[in-house]
Amino acid sequence: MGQEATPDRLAELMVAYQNGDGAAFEEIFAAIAVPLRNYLTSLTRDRARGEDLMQETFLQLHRSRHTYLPGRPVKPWAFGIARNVFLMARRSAARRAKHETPAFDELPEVPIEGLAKLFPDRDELSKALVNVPEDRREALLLHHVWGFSFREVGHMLGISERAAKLRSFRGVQGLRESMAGGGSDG
Amino acid sequence: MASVTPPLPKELRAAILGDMKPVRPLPPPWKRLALVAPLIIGVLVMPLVYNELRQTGEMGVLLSWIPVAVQVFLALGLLVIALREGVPGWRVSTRLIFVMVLAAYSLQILVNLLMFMQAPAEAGPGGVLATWMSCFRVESLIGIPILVLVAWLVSRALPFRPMLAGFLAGTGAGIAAEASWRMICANSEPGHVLLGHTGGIFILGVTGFLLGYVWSVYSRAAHSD
Repeated sequence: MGQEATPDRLAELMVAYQNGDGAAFEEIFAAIAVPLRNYLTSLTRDRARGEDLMQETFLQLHRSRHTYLPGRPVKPWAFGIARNVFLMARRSAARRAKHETPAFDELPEVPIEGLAKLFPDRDELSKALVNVPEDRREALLLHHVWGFSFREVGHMLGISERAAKLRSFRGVQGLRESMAGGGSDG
Repeated sequence: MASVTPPLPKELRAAILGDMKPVRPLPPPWKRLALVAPLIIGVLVMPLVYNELRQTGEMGVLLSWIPVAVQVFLALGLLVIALREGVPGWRVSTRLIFVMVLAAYSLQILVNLLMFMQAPAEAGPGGVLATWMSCFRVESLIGIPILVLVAWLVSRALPFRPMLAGFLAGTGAGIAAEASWRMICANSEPGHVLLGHTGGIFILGVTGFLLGYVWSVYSRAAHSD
């Protein structure tokens, strides 16, 4: 995933970015663009759309850079903005075309390294992910793929830490059932 | 999956690097609340200064000032949660919000009921209708400055659930206003309390919700330009 930057380094860069340092922004982009794009792609199930929303997220992030509180972790803040960009885009799309159906035949384009430890068969895993309900899949991916703590997942989704853990656990359970049954809509 | 960092797109680079003026980060929610604390205290104390306090002798501190302090504390909690709504990735769980709001309403009703049982008071001149209308009006007026100020602070951040943030700001303002006004209004008759006092809190919550709605429509329109 992009260039590795520790949470502390990212927090330092964010403060520099708030102070008007363009190089700091470029370093932040290099560190979080890929995870953000993959996250958005997993939400939209469309790589090109994920790419567009990633750019929109960076614009929103720039407009709202004053809302980053120095000392707090950067990634949950950036992912929180990305999630909102996705929800706004989905709402606008729903207004434009009320009966648009999601492309269930496409497999979600997500990096599954984190989950591969739990489920070694990557192809099966990709197929099975489609069958996991959206809220559970999101909690599962945020924790197992992007490495957020359940507390951070809870803060991003507006749910308690326990609920985040439960959603992720049920997501893993759903994955297991889906893979054991070998069933996939895709 | 490939994990190569994509190049920064030209348009994005131009848009962002062309506007690199320094910004002042928002202070944390509790600090922002501390900034408005003098105003909150002023708004709450003013009615106590200009009106005669109700007789609290037979109720004791347990039914008078202690519930006021607890209510103000809960109100501040709700206002902090409203302010946190504006910080991406730092939301409070919906369940906790529900519990806080429920606790605030329950405490307000319970304290008034206990006060009524301990020291029943009659409706003032003009009957029940006149007194609840007057309390409803005064309480809403006391709460409005707090609501407006907190709503303004929330709107300067990035609230993803502006209606919820507005509702919380309104409810917090209403709970604080009721805590202050209860020490003046001598009438704890349940009908009066529900209509005039709880109604005042509710209407402030609804006003906050509507402010949030207006803000979301305005901000959507501004971003789609």
